Amino acid sequence: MLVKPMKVVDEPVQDADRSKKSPLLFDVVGNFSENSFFEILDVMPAYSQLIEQFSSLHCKLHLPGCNKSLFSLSMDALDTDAKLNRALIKTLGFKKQNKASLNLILLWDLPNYLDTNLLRALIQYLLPHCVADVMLHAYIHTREQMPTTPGIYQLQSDRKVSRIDKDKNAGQTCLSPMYYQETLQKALSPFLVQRSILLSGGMQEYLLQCR
Amino acid sequence: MIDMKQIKENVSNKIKTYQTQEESGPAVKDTQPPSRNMSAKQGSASIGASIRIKGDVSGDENLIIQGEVDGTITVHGHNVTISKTGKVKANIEANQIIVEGKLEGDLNGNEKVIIRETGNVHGNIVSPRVTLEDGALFKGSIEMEPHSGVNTLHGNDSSEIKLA
Repeated sequence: MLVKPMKVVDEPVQDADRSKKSPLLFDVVGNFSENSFFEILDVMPAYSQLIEQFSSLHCKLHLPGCNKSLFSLSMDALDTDAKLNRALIKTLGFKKQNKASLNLILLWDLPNYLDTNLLRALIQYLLPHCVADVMLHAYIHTREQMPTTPGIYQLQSDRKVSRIDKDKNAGQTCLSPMYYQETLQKALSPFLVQRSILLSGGMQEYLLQCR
Repeated sequence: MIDMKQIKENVSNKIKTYQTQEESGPAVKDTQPPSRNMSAKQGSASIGASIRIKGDVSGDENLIIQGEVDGTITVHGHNVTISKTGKVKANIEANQIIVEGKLEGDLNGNEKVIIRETGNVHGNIVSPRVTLEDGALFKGSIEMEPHSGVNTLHGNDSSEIKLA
Protein backbone atom coordinates (compact mmCIF):
# COMPACT_ATOMS: atom_id res chain seq x y z
CA MET A 1 0.00 0.00 0.00
CA LEU A 2 1.62 3.23 -1.12
CA VAL A 3 -0.96 5.67 0.15
CA LYS A 4 -0.44 6.48 3.77
CA PRO A 5 -3.39 7.15 6.07
CA MET A 6 -4.61 10.70 5.73
CA LYS A 7 -3.81 12.64 8.83
CA VAL A 8 -4.99 16.22 8.76
CA VAL A 9 -2.45 18.64 10.12
CA ASP A 10 -2.55 22.38 10.58
CA GLU A 11 0.44 23.28 8.53
CA PRO A 12 -0.66 24.91 5.29
CA VAL A 13 0.84 23.73 2.04
CA GLN A 14 3.04 26.45 0.72
CA ASP A 15 2.38 27.66 -2.80
CA ALA A 16 -0.54 25.26 -3.16
CA ASP A 17 -2.83 27.91 -4.57
CA ARG A 18 -0.32 29.72 -6.72
CA SER A 19 -0.10 29.36 -10.44
CA LYS A 20 2.88 27.51 -11.74
CA LYS A 21 4.43 26.70 -15.06
CA SER A 22 3.44 23.33 -16.46
CA PRO A 23 5.72 22.85 -19.45
CA LEU A 24 5.01 19.16 -20.08
CA LEU A 25 1.26 19.66 -20.24
CA PHE A 26 1.49 22.52 -22.69
CA ASP A 27 4.14 20.69 -24.71
CA VAL A 28 1.96 17.64 -25.22
CA VAL A 29 -1.04 19.75 -26.15
CA GLY A 30 1.11 21.83 -28.48
CA ASN A 31 2.38 18.71 -30.21
CA PHE A 32 -1.09 17.65 -31.27
CA SER A 33 -1.54 18.34 -34.94
CA GLU A 34 -4.53 20.34 -36.09
CA ASN A 35 -4.91 17.93 -38.99
CA SER A 36 -5.57 14.88 -36.87
CA PHE A 37 -8.36 13.81 -34.56
CA PHE A 38 -7.64 13.38 -30.87
CA GLU A 39 -9.54 12.11 -27.88
CA ILE A 40 -8.69 13.46 -24.47
CA LEU A 41 -9.95 12.39 -21.04
CA ASP A 42 -9.95 14.97 -18.27
CA VAL A 43 -11.19 13.73 -14.90
CA MET A 44 -11.72 17.26 -13.55
CA PRO A 45 -15.01 19.15 -13.80
CA ALA A 46 -15.45 20.86 -17.15
CA TYR A 47 -14.55 24.54 -17.39
CA SER A 48 -14.28 27.04 -20.18
CA GLN A 49 -10.50 27.53 -20.31
CA LEU A 50 -9.88 23.84 -20.92
CA ILE A 51 -12.39 23.75 -23.75
CA GLU A 52 -10.79 26.83 -25.25
CA GLN A 53 -7.34 25.29 -24.97
CA PHE A 54 -8.34 22.34 -27.10
CA SER A 55 -10.77 24.11 -29.38
CA SER A 56 -8.19 24.67 -32.10
CA LEU A 57 -7.92 20.91 -32.52
CA HIS A 58 -10.31 18.52 -34.13
CA CYS A 59 -10.82 16.62 -30.93
CA LYS A 60 -13.20 14.98 -28.55
CA LEU A 61 -12.99 15.91 -24.90
CA HIS A 62 -14.31 13.36 -22.44
CA LEU A 63 -15.32 15.30 -19.34
CA PRO A 64 -16.96 12.98 -16.84
CA GLY A 65 -16.16 15.34 -13.97
CA CYS A 66 -15.33 12.31 -11.89
CA ASN A 67 -12.39 13.34 -9.75
CA LYS A 68 -14.46 13.54 -6.57
CA SER A 69 -16.33 10.34 -7.41
CA LEU A 70 -13.07 8.48 -7.93
CA PHE A 71 -11.66 10.03 -4.76
CA SER A 72 -14.64 8.77 -2.78
CA LEU A 73 -14.56 5.20 -4.10
CA SER A 74 -13.74 2.80 -1.34
CA MET A 75 -11.73 -0.30 -2.15
CA ASP A 76 -13.23 -1.96 0.93
CA ALA A 77 -16.68 -1.80 -0.63
CA LEU A 78 -15.38 -2.74 -4.08
CA ASP A 79 -14.02 -6.11 -3.06
CA THR A 80 -14.61 -7.93 -6.34
CA ASP A 81 -13.51 -7.16 -9.88
CA ALA A 82 -17.14 -7.00 -11.01
CA LYS A 83 -18.06 -4.42 -8.36
CA LEU A 84 -14.98 -2.39 -9.18
CA ASN A 85 -15.69 -2.49 -12.90
CA ARG A 86 -19.31 -1.43 -12.36
CA ALA A 87 -18.17 1.46 -10.17
CA LEU A 88 -15.66 2.63 -12.78
CA ILE A 89 -18.23 2.36 -15.59
CA LYS A 90 -20.68 4.40 -13.52
CA THR A 91 -18.00 6.97 -12.75
CA LEU A 92 -16.34 7.30 -16.14
CA GLY A 93 -18.98 6.05 -18.54
CA PHE A 94 -16.82 4.04 -20.93
CA LYS A 95 -18.37 0.71 -21.87
CA LYS A 96 -17.68 -1.90 -24.52
CA GLN A 97 -20.42 -0.45 -26.68
CA ASN A 98 -19.41 3.11 -25.82
CA LYS A 99 -15.76 2.90 -26.69
CA ALA A 100 -13.24 5.68 -26.84
CA SER A 101 -9.79 5.93 -28.41
CA LEU A 102 -8.01 8.14 -25.92
CA ASN A 103 -4.79 9.85 -26.97
CA LEU A 104 -4.27 11.72 -23.72
CA ILE A 105 -5.38 11.15 -20.13
CA LEU A 106 -5.25 14.09 -17.73
CA LEU A 107 -5.25 12.87 -14.14
CA TRP A 108 -3.84 16.09 -12.60
CA ASP A 109 -2.98 15.33 -8.95
CA LEU A 110 -5.58 12.58 -8.52
CA PRO A 111 -3.01 9.72 -8.36
CA ASN A 112 -1.81 11.10 -5.02
CA TYR A 113 -5.24 10.49 -3.52
CA LEU A 114 -6.27 7.11 -4.88
CA ASP A 115 -5.59 3.80 -3.25
CA THR A 116 -2.86 2.13 -5.28
CA ASN A 117 -5.10 -0.82 -6.12
CA LEU A 118 -7.79 1.55 -7.33
CA LEU A 119 -5.24 3.43 -9.40
CA ARG A 120 -4.14 0.17 -11.03
CA ALA A 121 -7.76 -0.82 -11.64
CA LEU A 122 -8.48 2.59 -13.17
CA ILE A 123 -5.58 2.24 -15.60
CA GLN A 124 -6.61 -1.30 -16.56
CA TYR A 125 -10.18 -0.11 -17.07
CA LEU A 126 -9.06 2.74 -19.32
CA LEU A 127 -6.56 0.80 -21.43
CA PRO A 128 -9.12 -0.78 -23.82
CA HIS A 129 -10.32 2.76 -24.53
CA CYS A 130 -6.89 4.09 -25.45
CA VAL A 131 -4.76 4.20 -28.58
CA ALA A 132 -1.54 2.19 -28.44
CA ASP A 133 0.76 5.10 -27.58
CA VAL A 134 -1.61 6.97 -25.28
CA MET A 135 -0.06 9.66 -23.06
CA LEU A 136 -0.84 10.24 -19.40
CA HIS A 137 -0.21 13.48 -17.52
CA ALA A 138 -0.10 13.78 -13.73
CA TYR A 139 1.18 15.94 -10.90
CA ILE A 140 2.80 14.18 -7.97
CA HIS A 141 3.33 15.87 -4.62
CA THR A 142 6.92 15.50 -3.52
CA ARG A 143 6.56 17.09 -0.11
CA GLU A 144 5.44 15.18 2.94
CA GLN A 145 2.20 17.18 3.18
CA MET A 146 -0.36 17.81 0.48
CA PRO A 147 -3.87 19.35 0.42
CA THR A 148 -6.55 17.01 1.77
CA THR A 149 -8.47 16.80 -1.51
CA PRO A 150 -7.51 16.69 -5.20
CA GLY A 151 -7.27 20.13 -6.74
CA ILE A 152 -9.05 21.67 -9.65
CA TYR A 153 -6.42 22.97 -12.01
CA GLN A 154 -7.22 25.69 -14.49
CA LEU A 155 -5.13 26.46 -17.52
CA GLN A 156 -3.82 29.97 -17.70
CA SER A 157 -1.81 31.97 -20.15
CA ASP A 158 1.99 31.77 -20.26
CA ARG A 159 1.92 27.96 -20.04
CA LYS A 160 0.78 28.12 -16.42
CA VAL A 161 -1.84 26.30 -14.41
CA SER A 162 -3.40 27.37 -11.15
CA ARG A 163 -4.91 25.23 -8.44
CA ILE A 164 -8.39 26.33 -7.41
CA ASP A 165 -9.39 25.37 -3.88
CA LYS A 166 -13.15 25.69 -3.47
CA ASP A 167 -13.20 23.07 -0.74
CA LYS A 168 -14.10 24.27 2.76
CA ASN A 169 -11.06 22.40 4.04
CA ALA A 170 -8.72 24.35 1.78
CA GLY A 171 -5.45 24.94 3.55
CA GLN A 172 -5.60 21.73 5.53
CA THR A 173 -3.13 19.05 4.63
CA CYS A 174 -2.55 15.35 4.90
CA LEU A 175 0.36 13.04 4.34
CA SER A 176 1.39 12.63 0.75
CA PRO A 177 2.27 9.21 -0.68
CA MET A 178 5.39 10.86 -2.15
CA TYR A 179 5.62 8.55 -5.13
CA TYR A 180 9.02 8.03 -6.57
CA GLN A 181 9.24 7.40 -10.27
CA GLU A 182 9.55 3.63 -9.92
CA THR A 183 6.59 3.27 -7.58
CA LEU A 184 4.52 5.58 -9.78
CA GLN A 185 5.31 3.49 -12.85
CA LYS A 186 4.30 0.34 -11.00
CA ALA A 187 1.01 1.90 -10.01
CA LEU A 188 0.37 3.19 -13.52
CA SER A 189 1.74 0.17 -15.39
CA PRO A 190 2.04 -0.26 -18.41
CA PHE A 191 2.72 3.48 -18.58
CA LEU A 192 6.36 4.49 -18.42
CA VAL A 193 7.70 7.92 -17.55
CA GLN A 194 8.68 9.77 -20.68
CA ARG A 195 9.48 13.15 -19.16
CA SER A 196 9.43 14.59 -15.66
CA ILE A 197 10.00 18.10 -14.31
CA LEU A 198 10.03 19.44 -10.76
CA LEU A 199 7.67 22.39 -10.54
CA SER A 200 7.51 25.14 -7.97
CA GLY A 201 5.52 24.36 -4.84
CA GLY A 202 6.81 20.81 -4.45
CA MET A 203 5.03 19.25 -7.40
CA GLN A 204 6.61 16.90 -9.89
CA GLU A 205 5.06 16.99 -13.33
CA TYR A 206 5.02 13.64 -15.12
CA LEU A 207 4.31 12.75 -18.70
CA LEU A 208 3.96 9.02 -19.18
CA GLN A 209 3.37 6.96 -22.27
CA CYS A 210 1.95 3.50 -22.71
CA ARG A 211 4.59 1.08 -24.00
CA MET B 1 -43.31 13.80 -35.29
CA ILE B 2 -44.47 17.22 -34.17
CA ASP B 3 -44.42 20.06 -36.64
CA MET B 4 -44.28 23.40 -34.89
CA LYS B 5 -46.00 25.37 -37.65
CA GLN B 6 -48.86 22.97 -37.47
CA ILE B 7 -48.84 23.27 -33.70
CA LYS B 8 -49.01 27.06 -33.91
CA GLU B 9 -51.90 26.97 -36.35
CA ASN B 10 -53.70 24.41 -34.30
CA VAL B 11 -53.08 26.29 -31.09
CA SER B 12 -54.42 29.51 -32.59
CA ASN B 13 -57.51 27.72 -33.83
CA LYS B 14 -57.96 25.98 -30.53
CA ILE B 15 -57.69 29.20 -28.60
CA LYS B 16 -60.45 30.66 -30.74
CA THR B 17 -62.63 27.63 -30.28
CA TYR B 18 -61.86 27.57 -26.55
CA GLN B 19 -63.65 30.85 -26.22
CA THR B 20 -66.80 29.37 -27.64
CA GLN B 21 -66.69 25.66 -27.03
CA GLU B 22 -64.62 25.07 -23.88
CA GLU B 23 -63.17 21.91 -25.30
CA SER B 24 -60.18 20.84 -27.33
CA GLY B 25 -58.75 17.74 -28.97
CA PRO B 26 -55.18 16.62 -29.54
CA ALA B 27 -53.46 18.76 -32.12
CA VAL B 28 -50.94 16.24 -33.22
CA LYS B 29 -50.49 12.54 -32.74
CA ASP B 30 -48.25 11.26 -29.96
CA THR B 31 -48.32 14.45 -27.93
CA GLN B 32 -50.25 15.82 -25.05
CA PRO B 33 -53.04 18.20 -25.98
CA PRO B 34 -51.71 21.55 -27.16
CA SER B 35 -51.83 24.39 -24.76
CA ARG B 36 -52.40 28.08 -24.95
CA ASN B 37 -48.93 28.38 -23.45
CA MET B 38 -47.45 27.21 -26.74
CA SER B 39 -47.35 30.37 -28.75
CA ALA B 40 -45.39 32.14 -31.42
CA LYS B 41 -43.36 35.15 -30.35
CA GLN B 42 -41.26 37.12 -32.78
CA GLY B 43 -40.61 34.15 -35.05
CA SER B 44 -40.02 31.75 -32.19
CA ALA B 45 -42.22 29.02 -30.88
CA SER B 46 -42.36 28.77 -27.14
CA ILE B 47 -43.17 25.78 -25.00
CA GLY B 48 -44.48 27.26 -21.79
CA ALA B 49 -43.35 26.36 -18.30
CA SER B 50 -46.43 24.25 -17.55
CA ILE B 51 -46.22 22.23 -20.77
CA ARG B 52 -44.88 18.68 -20.93
CA ILE B 53 -44.26 17.06 -24.29
CA LYS B 54 -43.40 13.43 -24.90
CA GLY B 55 -42.47 12.84 -28.50
CA ASP B 56 -40.48 14.24 -31.38
CA VAL B 57 -40.46 17.97 -32.00
CA SER B 58 -39.39 19.43 -35.35
CA GLY B 59 -39.88 22.68 -37.17
CA ASP B 60 -38.50 25.55 -39.20
CA GLU B 61 -38.26 28.28 -36.62
CA ASN B 62 -36.55 29.06 -33.37
CA LEU B 63 -37.78 27.23 -30.32
CA ILE B 64 -37.79 28.36 -26.70
CA ILE B 65 -38.44 25.67 -24.11
CA GLN B 66 -39.60 26.71 -20.68
CA GLY B 67 -41.40 23.45 -19.90
CA GLU B 68 -40.47 19.81 -20.20
CA VAL B 69 -39.69 17.82 -23.34
CA ASP B 70 -38.91 14.12 -23.48
CA GLY B 71 -38.04 12.87 -26.96
CA THR B 72 -36.09 14.48 -29.78
CA ILE B 73 -35.89 18.06 -31.01
CA THR B 74 -34.89 18.92 -34.57
CA VAL B 75 -34.92 22.46 -35.94
CA HIS B 76 -32.37 22.56 -38.72
CA GLY B 77 -31.08 26.04 -39.44
CA HIS B 78 -32.73 27.51 -36.34
CA ASN B 79 -32.01 27.92 -32.66
CA VAL B 80 -33.16 26.12 -29.57
CA THR B 81 -33.09 27.81 -26.18
CA ILE B 82 -33.77 25.88 -23.01
CA SER B 83 -34.75 28.46 -20.42
CA LYS B 84 -33.94 28.29 -16.72
CA THR B 85 -37.21 26.51 -16.03
CA GLY B 86 -36.77 24.08 -18.90
CA LYS B 87 -36.17 20.38 -18.30
CA VAL B 88 -35.31 18.43 -21.41
CA LYS B 89 -34.50 14.78 -21.97
CA ALA B 90 -33.84 14.78 -25.66
CA ASN B 91 -31.27 14.71 -28.39
CA ILE B 92 -31.25 18.11 -30.07
CA GLU B 93 -30.21 19.10 -33.57
CA ALA B 94 -30.21 22.81 -34.30
CA ASN B 95 -28.09 25.63 -35.62
CA GLN B 96 -27.46 27.15 -32.20
CA ILE B 97 -28.35 25.60 -28.87
CA ILE B 98 -28.44 27.65 -25.68
CA VAL B 99 -28.95 25.87 -22.37
CA GLU B 100 -29.96 27.79 -19.27
CA GLY B 101 -31.92 24.94 -17.70
CA LYS B 102 -31.49 21.20 -17.33
CA LEU B 103 -30.73 18.94 -20.26
CA GLU B 104 -30.04 15.25 -20.57
CA GLY B 105 -29.21 14.22 -24.10
CA ASP B 106 -26.88 14.70 -27.02
CA LEU B 107 -26.51 18.06 -28.70
CA ASN B 108 -25.62 18.66 -32.31
CA GLY B 109 -25.13 22.37 -32.87
CA ASN B 110 -24.25 23.22 -36.44
CA GLU B 111 -23.01 26.66 -35.42
CA LYS B 112 -22.50 26.66 -31.67
CA VAL B 113 -23.59 25.39 -28.30
CA ILE B 114 -23.70 27.69 -25.28
CA ILE B 115 -24.19 26.43 -21.74
CA ARG B 116 -25.06 29.38 -19.52
CA GLU B 117 -24.03 29.62 -15.86
CA THR B 118 -27.40 28.21 -14.77
CA GLY B 119 -27.22 25.36 -17.26
CA ASN B 120 -26.81 21.72 -16.30
CA VAL B 121 -26.04 19.37 -19.18
CA HIS B 122 -25.42 15.65 -19.11
CA GLY B 123 -24.69 14.37 -22.59
CA ASN B 124 -22.46 14.60 -25.61
CA ILE B 125 -21.94 17.71 -27.69
CA VAL B 126 -20.85 17.91 -31.31
CA SER B 127 -20.34 21.46 -32.53
CA PRO B 128 -17.62 23.65 -34.02
CA ARG B 129 -17.95 26.11 -31.13
CA VAL B 130 -18.77 25.35 -27.52
CA THR B 131 -19.02 27.89 -24.71
CA LEU B 132 -19.26 26.84 -21.09
CA GLU B 133 -19.90 29.77 -18.80
CA ASP B 134 -18.47 29.82 -15.28
CA GLY B 135 -20.82 27.99 -12.96
CA ALA B 136 -22.30 25.81 -15.68
CA LEU B 137 -22.38 22.09 -14.98
CA PHE B 138 -21.41 19.66 -17.71
CA LYS B 139 -20.76 15.94 -17.79
CA GLY B 140 -20.17 14.12 -21.04
CA SER B 141 -18.05 14.65 -24.10
CA ILE B 142 -17.45 17.58 -26.40
CA GLU B 143 -16.45 16.95 -29.98
CA MET B 144 -15.28 20.07 -31.70
CA GLU B 145 -15.13 20.07 -35.45
CA PRO B 146 -13.47 23.26 -36.59
CA HIS B 147 -15.00 24.09 -39.95
CA SER B 148 -13.16 25.76 -42.77
CA GLY B 149 -12.89 29.48 -42.27
CA VAL B 150 -12.40 31.23 -38.96
CA ASN B 151 -14.55 30.48 -35.98
CA THR B 152 -14.27 31.98 -32.55
CA LEU B 153 -14.96 30.67 -29.13
CA HIS B 154 -15.87 33.03 -26.34
CA GLY B 155 -15.50 32.11 -22.71
CA ASN B 156 -17.14 33.89 -19.84
CA ASP B 157 -13.94 35.80 -19.26
CA SER B 158 -14.30 37.30 -22.73
CA SER B 159 -11.22 35.48 -23.96
CA GLU B 160 -11.37 34.48 -27.57
CA ILE B 161 -9.82 31.63 -29.46
CA LYS B 162 -9.67 31.46 -33.19
CA LEU B 163 -10.26 28.11 -34.79
CA ALA B 164 -8.49 27.47 -38.04
